[in-house]
Amino acid sequence: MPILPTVAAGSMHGAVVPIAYAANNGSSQTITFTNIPQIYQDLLLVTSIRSSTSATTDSILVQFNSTTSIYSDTDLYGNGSSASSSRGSNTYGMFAGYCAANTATSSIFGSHQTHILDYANTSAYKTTINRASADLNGSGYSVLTAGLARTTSAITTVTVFPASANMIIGSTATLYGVRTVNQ
Amino acid sequence: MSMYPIASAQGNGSGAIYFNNIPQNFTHLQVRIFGRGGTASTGSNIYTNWGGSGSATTFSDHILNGNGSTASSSANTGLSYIFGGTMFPAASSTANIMGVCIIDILDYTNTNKYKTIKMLGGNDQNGSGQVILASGLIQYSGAITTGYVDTEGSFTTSTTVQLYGITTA
Repeated sequence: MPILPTVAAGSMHGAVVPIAYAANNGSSQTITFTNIPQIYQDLLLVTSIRSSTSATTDSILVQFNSTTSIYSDTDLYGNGSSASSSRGSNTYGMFAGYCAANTATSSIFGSHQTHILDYANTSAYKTTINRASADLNGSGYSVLTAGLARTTSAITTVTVFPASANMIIGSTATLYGVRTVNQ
Repeated sequence: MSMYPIASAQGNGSGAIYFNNIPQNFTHLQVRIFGRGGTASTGSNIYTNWGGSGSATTFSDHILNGNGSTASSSANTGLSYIFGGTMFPAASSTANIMGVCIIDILDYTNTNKYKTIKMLGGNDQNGSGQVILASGLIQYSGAITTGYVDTEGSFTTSTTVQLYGITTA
């Protein structure tokens, strides 16, 4: 998706500046933000996604710079009755939680945020904090994850997608830049 | 609601990172840390303290933690800081890996109530690591004007810390 042409860090905004917004038309699996400006301290990705896979939930994955298999994650789950933790390593995309999917009650979408700190840093790997919730009125998850992308490259492209199938129409993603002092 | 940058700091490897004379014209504060500890270990904890002039405060916390295999919870009372768990990698971790901690301090200028903070963060080290949600209580009803964040062995020079003010209108 193209970057909104009129958005620039400036005094008219607070620290959180909208960079780009996209709504999925239901015919593709991914939303991708390219040519991300390198003028902010952090990025914040916010999504509302429902997957078309034949299940009640689907995993939300995030990729940077269209790169695969450099990701790992440490996860904390609550499923309404117990809490648990798990880990993923060398994954195709960074696991960021769960969204609702095709056999869940219609109109339910998952809610998710990924904080990408120091995204333009070229000396450090990228660590993210991800929060996702998919309450299905009697089932569902709340998920908190720490994600690692083993790359020192500045992040110029962010892709978000359900792991198993296309998004359903109505799915949206918004990318924000977070300014710090003198940005 | 809008968020505005107040201050930016970098780890120095030799002490806590302090914020003094915090402006009183916001409703909430947020601290965003991209950090790594200097201690000879693969993990380093977050310690944070917020208060005001002449404040005699005690701190307590509750921590919900996932370490990749087990979810657990713990709590502390009677501390001189808020302990948030192992949010950061440290000197024995793989190079280039950093941790994240985002701290929200609500109603920090309110002079009629104690302050409750929320900490969200963690680190993944491709086979180890932790993810944490923590709450902290500051038994101080004055306005918060100073604070610090710290970790074992101090934050490395690759650490960045940002302080933001959040308005409600």
